Amino acid sequence: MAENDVKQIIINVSGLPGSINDLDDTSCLSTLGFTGTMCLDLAEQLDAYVKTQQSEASVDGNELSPSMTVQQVIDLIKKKVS
Amino acid sequence: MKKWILFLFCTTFAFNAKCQQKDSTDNQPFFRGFQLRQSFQTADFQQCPAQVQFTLPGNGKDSWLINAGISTGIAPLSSSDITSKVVAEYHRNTILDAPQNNYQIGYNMQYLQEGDDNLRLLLTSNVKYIRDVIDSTHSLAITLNLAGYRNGKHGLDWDHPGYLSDGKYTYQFSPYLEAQYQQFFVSGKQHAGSIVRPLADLSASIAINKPKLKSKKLTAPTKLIELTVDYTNRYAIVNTTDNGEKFTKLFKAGLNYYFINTGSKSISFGASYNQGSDPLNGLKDQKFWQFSLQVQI
Repeated sequence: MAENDVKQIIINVSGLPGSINDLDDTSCLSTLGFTGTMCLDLAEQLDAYVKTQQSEASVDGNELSPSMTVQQVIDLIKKKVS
Repeated sequence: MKKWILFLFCTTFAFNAKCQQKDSTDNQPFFRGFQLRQSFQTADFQQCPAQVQFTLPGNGKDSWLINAGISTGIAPLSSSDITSKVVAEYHRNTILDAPQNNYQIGYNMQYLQEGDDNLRLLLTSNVKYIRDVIDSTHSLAITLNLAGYRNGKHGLDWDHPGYLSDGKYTYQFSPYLEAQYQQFFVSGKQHAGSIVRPLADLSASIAINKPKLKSKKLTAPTKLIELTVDYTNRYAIVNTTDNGEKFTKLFKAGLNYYFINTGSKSISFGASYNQGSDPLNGLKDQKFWQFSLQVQI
């Protein structure tokens, strides 16, 4: 399920101890400690995930920023894999 | 000059070609996002808040302290492992013994090597026009910065916040190597010439965080007080200008108190001790204390 996969990737890149059930959809990436470089790392991980879903779309480093919410990231990836 | 135009053209073309590999069906805006930071020179600086302070007395001279840069992403020149930005920076400090007044505009690119828990290469590059008002110089600078990035479950994180003692402390460790090429143009009495500076930098910070809220919501620990240390060593291995620059260094130690820190936005009061120089940003060799309001949006 894309939503849980994306949440798990966000938690892995953040380095925070927690599970996807603790992650609030309205939280900004910056409140999870994300910097610009971490957003680039997240873009790479999500791009690899999108590729595993047989999608030809890609995720760009500039598409993610620390001001985005978890829900916005999920919506972006859902759009790419649909 | 023709060589530089050719170099810029080839670099832009190469990145554009790489980025063409992605799906082009999305209708993306050409520019995306906006950031305000202290500088975009390195990945490390991109995490520092902008500094702004000025006084406009009824009598006497105004005083200014601005260390700020803005950027916006360039979508067609970005991919999953590359971000491209247009950046503009302004560094002005009139309160110093040797004042600083320097502005810059150009292109910034960041590349992160793909990988897992191991140390990965983080490359930050800039091509920018620099105007130093104090020295009356115009120059073109190209910088190439090599840093490490590591987000591991165990061991030391690089250029990634690490959390200690169940989130009571946050640390960041960011060493890097950099090469700077600065081509000065003829300007008034200034002759043309170039400088090549390799440099090494070690920066680290540790913060005491606010006590954790009882909310179940997952958030990064909120910083309360942060101690930062940064030491840079440079040597002008090539210098065909008449400014006599050779070995330069800059040591900075700072203490920041965050009175607003929501994660996405922060306002802090910072005190720092600075000793040395930063030629690219027009900071002359001197030592000074600096107290400033720092804003990150």
